[in-house]
Amino acid sequence: MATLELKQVRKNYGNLEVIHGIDLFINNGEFCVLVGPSGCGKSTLLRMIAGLEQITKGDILIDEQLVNNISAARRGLAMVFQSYALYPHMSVRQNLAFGLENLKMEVDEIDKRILEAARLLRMEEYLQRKPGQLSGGQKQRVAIGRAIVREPSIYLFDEPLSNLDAELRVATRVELKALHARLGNTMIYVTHDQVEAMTMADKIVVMNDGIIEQVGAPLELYNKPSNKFVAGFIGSPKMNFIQFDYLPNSLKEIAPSNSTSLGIRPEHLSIKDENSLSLNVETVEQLGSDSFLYGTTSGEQKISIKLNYQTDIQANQTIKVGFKLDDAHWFDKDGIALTS
Amino acid sequence: MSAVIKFFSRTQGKNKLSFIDWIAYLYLFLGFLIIFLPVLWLLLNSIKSQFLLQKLDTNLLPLDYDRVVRATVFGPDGKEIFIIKDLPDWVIYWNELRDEDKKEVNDPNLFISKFEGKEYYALRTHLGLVSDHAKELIEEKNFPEWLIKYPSMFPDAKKEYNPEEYLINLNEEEVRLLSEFLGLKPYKPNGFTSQILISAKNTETNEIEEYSVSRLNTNKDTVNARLISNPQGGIVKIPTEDIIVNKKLRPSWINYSDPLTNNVRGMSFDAIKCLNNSVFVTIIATIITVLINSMAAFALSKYKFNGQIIFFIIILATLMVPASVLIVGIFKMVSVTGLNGTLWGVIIPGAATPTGVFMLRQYMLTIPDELLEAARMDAASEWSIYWRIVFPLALPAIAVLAILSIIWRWNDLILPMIAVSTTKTAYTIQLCLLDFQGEYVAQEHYRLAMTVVSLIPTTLVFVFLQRYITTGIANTGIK
Amino acid sequence: MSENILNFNYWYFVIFIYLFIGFLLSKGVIGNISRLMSVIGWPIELAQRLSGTKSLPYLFLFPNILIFGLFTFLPLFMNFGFSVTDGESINFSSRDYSGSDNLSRIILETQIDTGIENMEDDKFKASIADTFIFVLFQVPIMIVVALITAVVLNREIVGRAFWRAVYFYPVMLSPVVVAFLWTLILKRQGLLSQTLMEWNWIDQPIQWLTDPSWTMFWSVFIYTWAHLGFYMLILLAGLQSIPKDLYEAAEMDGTSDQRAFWRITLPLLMPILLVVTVLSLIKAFQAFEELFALQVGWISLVSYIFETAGLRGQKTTFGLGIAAMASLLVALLLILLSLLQFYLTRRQVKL
Repeated sequence: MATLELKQVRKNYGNLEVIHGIDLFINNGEFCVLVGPSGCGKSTLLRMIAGLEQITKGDILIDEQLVNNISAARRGLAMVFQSYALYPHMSVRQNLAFGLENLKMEVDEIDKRILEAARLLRMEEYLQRKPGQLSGGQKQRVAIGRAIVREPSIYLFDEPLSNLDAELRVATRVELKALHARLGNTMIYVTHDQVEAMTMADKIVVMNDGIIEQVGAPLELYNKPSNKFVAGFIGSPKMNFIQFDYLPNSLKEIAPSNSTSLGIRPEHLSIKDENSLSLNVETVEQLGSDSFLYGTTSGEQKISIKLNYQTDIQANQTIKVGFKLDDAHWFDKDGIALTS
Repeated sequence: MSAVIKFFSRTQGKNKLSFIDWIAYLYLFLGFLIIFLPVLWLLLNSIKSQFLLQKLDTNLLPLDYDRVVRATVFGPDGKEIFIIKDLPDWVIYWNELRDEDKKEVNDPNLFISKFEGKEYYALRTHLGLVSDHAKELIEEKNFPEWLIKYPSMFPDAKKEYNPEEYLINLNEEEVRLLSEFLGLKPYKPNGFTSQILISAKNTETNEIEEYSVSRLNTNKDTVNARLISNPQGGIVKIPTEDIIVNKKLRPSWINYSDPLTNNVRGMSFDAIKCLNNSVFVTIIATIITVLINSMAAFALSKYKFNGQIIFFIIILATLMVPASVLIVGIFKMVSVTGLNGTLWGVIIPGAATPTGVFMLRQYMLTIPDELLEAARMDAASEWSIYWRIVFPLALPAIAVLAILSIIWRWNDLILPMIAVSTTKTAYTIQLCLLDFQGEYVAQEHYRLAMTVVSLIPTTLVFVFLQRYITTGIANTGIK
Repeated sequence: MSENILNFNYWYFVIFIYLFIGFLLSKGVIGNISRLMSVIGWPIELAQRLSGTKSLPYLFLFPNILIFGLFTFLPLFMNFGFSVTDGESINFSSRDYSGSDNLSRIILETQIDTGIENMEDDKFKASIADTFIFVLFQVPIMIVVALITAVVLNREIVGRAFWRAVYFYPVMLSPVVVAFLWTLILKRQGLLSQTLMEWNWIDQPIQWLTDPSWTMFWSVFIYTWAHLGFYMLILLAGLQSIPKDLYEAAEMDGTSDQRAFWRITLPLLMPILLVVTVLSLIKAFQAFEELFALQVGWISLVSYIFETAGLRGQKTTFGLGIAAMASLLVALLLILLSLLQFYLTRRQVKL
């Protein structure tokens, strides 16, 4: 059980700075998800927390202890890797025992912990197998089990679900959440998938280009994105952005001053005249439960709409779409959200 | 010409064996013969007896002739040549026995007591009993001491003495003995050579009789032979096509068993010691090579550090200056480090191999770094990451290196020549064989057998582990 | 030897102390193998505990680099030392500086010490000339035969693994064995002479290995015989890396087989062919062990060095210096060839 604090953490590769001064506090027992597009520095940040990468500047504190110069082995953390990084030449049991042996733990204690973890993750039957003989989901469990037996203060996850198929990913997501509820440890989870972030996190940290764009609870980010990047990153399908110049005059009038673009989520658009834009439909996708319309409005601004019913609108039709003013997001020229 | 070029082409229709296929198989088969006939010839020669090898036998199989001995005895009646049959091997090869071995084998005195007359004289000379018997006689008769030294005196010194006067009162046997010992006329040292027994029709009597032959050369039209029943009759020429040679398939296993049981007669060739040395060098050097090369490869492939590329280039640069051109310098360094004359002088200088480091590094680059990071998170020390994670995962490449190292070390000649060439007890098998070639020309049968023994380890490795070697060489392109 | 402070008994002592410290430090390590490895690697573990991971790569490299330093780089400098000094001793303290005398001894027409005609330079120059003749014939023959064999083995042939093994087998034989094998056949009264005499092709047995008109032929033949498999294997790997669909495409285009060989196989194989050529050049210039054991009728460069150095007994006043000077010249040649090889394989190395 531990807190984690980052103070102005920076990372340089040669002259190139990839992490530009990160400040972050993660509470005891929190499930914190670092999310962002690939290359945003979230994995690097996680590896710096783990101690696998040196930090160039700044401080990392675990439980208010400075750990900058403490090796990965002694920070008391455990990490689940994207590729699982199971030792291919060792059996599952040896994989779990390896870390404990390195800590010179008693054999009895090692056995006890392995059995507990195996029971918790339901992997008793394949303790003697080698990783090569396991399915993707089983490997995933072993990787998590290897973290659990260490009884770490903080769990680190580096995109652990990205190698699983879609169905298994959903199931594992639920299990991980349950595991967090049971263990109650601080967990830091890196992903590029905003759905994972939204479904699992207590706290989401959205990163882009080596800086933190916004920190908050999932719904807070969805409802009140603090900038255009977060607004576009959180939510699926992506939020529509329409440049101010191409808005109908009726909308220009109600916009806050300085706004340069309007953001509106596809699910908040509906077929109606109020606050409306005229849309030239190009493609219609019918999923049964939902329908998606894609088209352009004046000035070739691309718009997508999600309707939660089946529609008879056809391609090449021109329709009017509108929204509630509360659902509109306005951004200034720097992409900062404006309050209307 | 176009057929030859066509034969280079790679793909081939699915129709039945074409002309080109026939040439391909013919080529392969010819290659097979050129490669395996010499090896086969060595194998078959290694079980031929010393006698056959000396007679330059060209049969593939060890078909041994029946042997007889041709003896020459000198006496008052002049030279007498005759044949002795059915002598045991140790008598025939008495001159090649070492002194200590001579004492171990059967008692020559007892043996010759079964003979008499000229056969007795011939055998007495051959078995080196003349001087012993003569000394006994001199003591018994109280003759002066200088008689014992007389045979080894310079001719000038001999003039001062007159040994003839002591012969006067002796009986005929004693005269012969003393004369043979002192080299007085008409007696001379008696001759004794081993020959082949053949049968042929006697041109005079038209009966099949036995002859002895010193050399059989089937190229020649006639064979020079001596009639056994009348050896004094001189050499007769017998047409080669008329002779009947009695041959038996008689593999000479003692070629192997004698050196391997340290029972080699007539020389200081310790095959067991040499083989032990080679086994020791091969095993220890391979362990050290695998250990230190994989450590270096680990550092070069899994860390980022200052001078990494320089170290790598230094290691590869050693490929350029092989031991064979640094002989003098290596000899000096082996002496400076005090390793000369010990097997460690063979093991250590060759333990670091650029090939091994290069090969292992290339392989270790393919081991994901995440595994090492996982181990670091698991609180493993860097040393245990090396030997518990990277070493086991690099085993396929390490196996290749180990096998190559075994072959290099077993076959190595240059390092042993530099480090232990003046210390016989530290000779490896290759050095022993080479040394043997120079020293004991007459013992070729042992040398051939030991050459075959020296082939066994590498051949076993080849038969069972060929796959590793071929992939290893194909992948690195370095031997 | 006993006065040498670096006597090997002293090494035993050092190794014992090393392992003993390791034994003490590894207390508490569970498992026999783990304990053994701790005993061996204790300096690395200790260094990590004391000063982190910074120094570790150097420690991992240390044993290897130490041996390279002691037995490859220092000998190179020692060779320099020997090449500019005279004397029978290998101790530099009892050797006299002689500058370029040794170089003069192996290249000048007159003996610089006595002023009479120099014999050493003839021997050296003969060994250079003979070695070049050897290389000139051996390398092209080896490459062509290896290429033919590789191409044949790359066809769809029954028992390809067997044939490949057959051609590779001589590579496993030691030079001494190769030499004995062929001596048995090629000596004066060996199998070849006897067989040819039986067929009445020759009247007198021939000393194939030392006869001046045959010695080079058989040297090239035996050396090629012994090393062919190695180069064949590399070329075969190269052939197998050529994508099969290229040939299928060529077949679809109606390309004839020989055209496919000249236009597809050979160009794609060229990089490997170059590497193999340089590699075999390097090896051929070093040819020594087989030729030495065969007692052929000419002296190769390395044999010259070995015999002149007199390490096996018969030492001469200038032997060591002359041998060292000759080695430096050979080393220079080999270094140039190796640089060429590095240049050709630079992509494979991935610095």
